[in-house]
Amino acid sequence: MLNLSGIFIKKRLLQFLVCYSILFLIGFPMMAQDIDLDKLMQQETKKDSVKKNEKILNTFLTTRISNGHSVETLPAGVMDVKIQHRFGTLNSGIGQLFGLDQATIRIGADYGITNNLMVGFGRASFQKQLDGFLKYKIWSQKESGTPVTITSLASVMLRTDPFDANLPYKPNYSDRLAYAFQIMIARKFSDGISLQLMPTIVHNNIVPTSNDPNDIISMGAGGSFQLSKSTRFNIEYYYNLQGYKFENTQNSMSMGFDIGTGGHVFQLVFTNGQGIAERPFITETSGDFFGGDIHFGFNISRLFQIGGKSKK
Amino acid sequence: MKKAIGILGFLCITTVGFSQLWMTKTGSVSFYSHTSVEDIRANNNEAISFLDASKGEFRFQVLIKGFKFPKAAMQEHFNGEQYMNSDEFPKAEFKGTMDQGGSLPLKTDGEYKVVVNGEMTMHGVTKTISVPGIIKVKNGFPEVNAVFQVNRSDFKISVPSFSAAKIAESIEVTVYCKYEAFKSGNN
Repeated sequence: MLNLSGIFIKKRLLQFLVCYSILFLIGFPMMAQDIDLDKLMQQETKKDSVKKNEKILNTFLTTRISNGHSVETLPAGVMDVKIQHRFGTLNSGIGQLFGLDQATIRIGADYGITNNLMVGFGRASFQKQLDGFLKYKIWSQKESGTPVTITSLASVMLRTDPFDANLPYKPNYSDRLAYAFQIMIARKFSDGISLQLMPTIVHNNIVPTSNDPNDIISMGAGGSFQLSKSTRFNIEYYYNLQGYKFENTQNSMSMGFDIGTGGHVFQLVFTNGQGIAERPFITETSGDFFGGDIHFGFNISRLFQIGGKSKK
Repeated sequence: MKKAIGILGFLCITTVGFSQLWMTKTGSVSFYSHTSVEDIRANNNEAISFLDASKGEFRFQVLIKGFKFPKAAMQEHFNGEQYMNSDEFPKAEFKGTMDQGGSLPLKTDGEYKVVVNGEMTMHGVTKTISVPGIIKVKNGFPEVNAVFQVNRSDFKISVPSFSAAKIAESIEVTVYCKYEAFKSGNN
């Protein structure tokens, strides 16, 4: 009898142990899960950051590098009032106050239609030139994936000064027009350096002689280097291809500083030409930068939010 | 038979214990700065929060880049290096526990006044704070509402001098989270 009950007890014990182990195995994962909130938070945020892949901001501080455009466009609804000055050359001597007496100015405004499309227009006292442009950001550099930002620019320029001194006839409206097309490819590197390449073509409806090309092809390259939280050093160079440039012109070279404060960006510019807008500064620059023909100038940018922000 | 009941009972207990974990990925965190020059408001609707009701433990996390401002320039400055520097400090977090611990009957509908003590980490600084709030349970689901003040200087958020007059030193933060039951693999 004892033996049988012993076996019976053992059997019950065995059954109990088996059931308990099964329950433990089933229950175990459930119990272990609700303890580590930090781990859960990590898992959730990892899922989200893979989905988000943010756009890279502020490759350049503003929509111009120095003379020419940067890949940046304005946010939707923002208007940028631009006042730009270019003075005479620094080597004009004290009599001309080192070029300050020969001031030229461009007054204009840019507007962000969407976050990727902007429009701008302005008038420069140099050659009394009106200009307008449309700029469209095709791709934005992202945290992972798209490695560069690509922006396109189309601009039109109209000289309204009487420039018929070298022409046998008075120029008509279409004679005064020039066009520029540009693709800008830029990348912001993590250590405060941004670099940009901008192949450009400028088309003049008329040119002084039959030896001059109507189409000037230029390869621009520029960079922006961060000096502090709100200042950068910029450099910009446009190399005009042989056979597609005017005689006796120099490649446009510019160096400068960006200073950002609140709603303003001040750009100090040292360049070898007095033109603002693509046709004059890319195709007609005559100063020898490293020979001392340096024009001081500055760009002032003031932002106003006047339209609705885009939903994104 | 008894064993079967025992097994079912055990499973029931573990399942019920499991539903004490709450989560949301659409929590709202907003802040308000008032000065005589300008009022600034911003809102983030993508706060992630966990609530372990069995212990009264909270976790909150917001991405700084997720705060939306009425003006684009404000949002860019806010994320910039001179303000929140969100490239280097992408998020703000809070880990805390209720004074009442896990003792509140959060499965029963009603309103419960709580004080949550814990650590807030933002802009590279961690500080112990105490936040009063209200937990409303509706149809078994908890909702959390809290309003508290944060001092910029506590988190080393100094702003450039030309903005100082427009941004208050003490910022009012409002948190509103509606929780759902946590399901692992929940997206």
